[in-house]
Amino acid sequence: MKAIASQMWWKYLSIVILLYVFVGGFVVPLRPGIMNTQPERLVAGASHTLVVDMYNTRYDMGDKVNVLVRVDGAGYIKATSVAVRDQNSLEVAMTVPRNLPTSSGAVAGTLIVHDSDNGFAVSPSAVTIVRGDSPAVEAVDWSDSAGLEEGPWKLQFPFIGILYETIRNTFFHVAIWFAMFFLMAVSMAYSIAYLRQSDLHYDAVASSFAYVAIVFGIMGMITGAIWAKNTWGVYWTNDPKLNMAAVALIIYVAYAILRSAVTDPDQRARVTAAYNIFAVVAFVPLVFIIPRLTSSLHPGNGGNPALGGEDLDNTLRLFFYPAIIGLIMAGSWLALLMVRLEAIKMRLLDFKIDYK
Amino acid sequence: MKKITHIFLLCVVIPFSVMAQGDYYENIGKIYVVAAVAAVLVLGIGAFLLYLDKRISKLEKQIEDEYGSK
Repeated sequence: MKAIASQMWWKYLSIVILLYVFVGGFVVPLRPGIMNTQPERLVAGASHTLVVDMYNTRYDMGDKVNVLVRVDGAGYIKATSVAVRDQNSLEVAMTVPRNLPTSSGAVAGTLIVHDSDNGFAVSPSAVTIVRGDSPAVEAVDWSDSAGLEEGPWKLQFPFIGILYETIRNTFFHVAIWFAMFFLMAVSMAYSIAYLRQSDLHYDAVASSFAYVAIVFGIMGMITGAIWAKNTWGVYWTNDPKLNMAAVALIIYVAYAILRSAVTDPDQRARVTAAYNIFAVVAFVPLVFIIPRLTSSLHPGNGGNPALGGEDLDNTLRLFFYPAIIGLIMAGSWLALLMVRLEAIKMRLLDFKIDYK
Repeated sequence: MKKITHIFLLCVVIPFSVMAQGDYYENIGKIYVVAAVAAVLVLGIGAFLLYLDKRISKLEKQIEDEYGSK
């Protein structure tokens, strides 16, 4: 480990990787998506004119646009005409068939907007179709297939309602928590090494990695609060994931306080090494297990999966994994600078200089 | 210690003021939120570097006091 620690290449590499993540995370566009549909309530057997507001589209460039409504168990309603209002807005005329698939009064319809350039934009349950008794203007039936092709692959992040552009926070908020946990694991490994060999160098490594992990954890908390304010509407909620993460971080802050409370280097190293092992052991159930056993608003927990499906698709992975690696390298770099500082301090102690 | 508190306050104030740049309802894409979150990361790592710088300066001063300057 000491051989890698003294080399420079991975430090430069961490800067390059983080630059790639910051630039790519901001400039890669979002896939076009459906923002709003008016009216949301359609009557079976009647003709309607819908206004569909889109995000990140350039319909004024003259692409041919198709609009469909899909109802499960019945089929597709194809728009009779699609007029472009402006670059982000469509006016869609469609006639809804009289026969609904269920005996209940209303069914939910999925709105699909397609153009050959961007492929599909889908908004589930964007419209509700209710039974009506007005006679149909013209007899129409459900179409069996959409008859449209997926557009060419493009480097675009997925469009998810309420998140919009903040899906990019995956590279910052989520990655910094992952990096923090890696740093804590390294810290624990060196605490075990200290307890086995009583070398103060290991204690310096363990404490430095733990300090950087605390800084990363605080950053993860602030970024999470900013993100929550803009998606959930509040900075903090009584969610198990949030509360348990706060408890886990407080355990680590207590580690820092414990270190400053004990003055004798050997005694401090022994006590805090043991504490550090217990801190990681407490961290795993608090952050990874308890929130999964209960229901949580935060993705990645009970009834709310993350890292799968639309939440983390392959274009996000292109930046998410480098973000984790880059932050781990940058965090290790910061920690190793602290280790070198501790080493100088220890040498000064050897020269009988009283370091305050 | 006072300086570190100021740095920490900056870490909170700057991102939140970045976030406030876009009007909440006008900023439908919420790109300012991403800018604020990225700012937290940059400032957090920057604050840590400043903290290290301070500790190194202190050591340097101590060595100078003991051995005199070169």
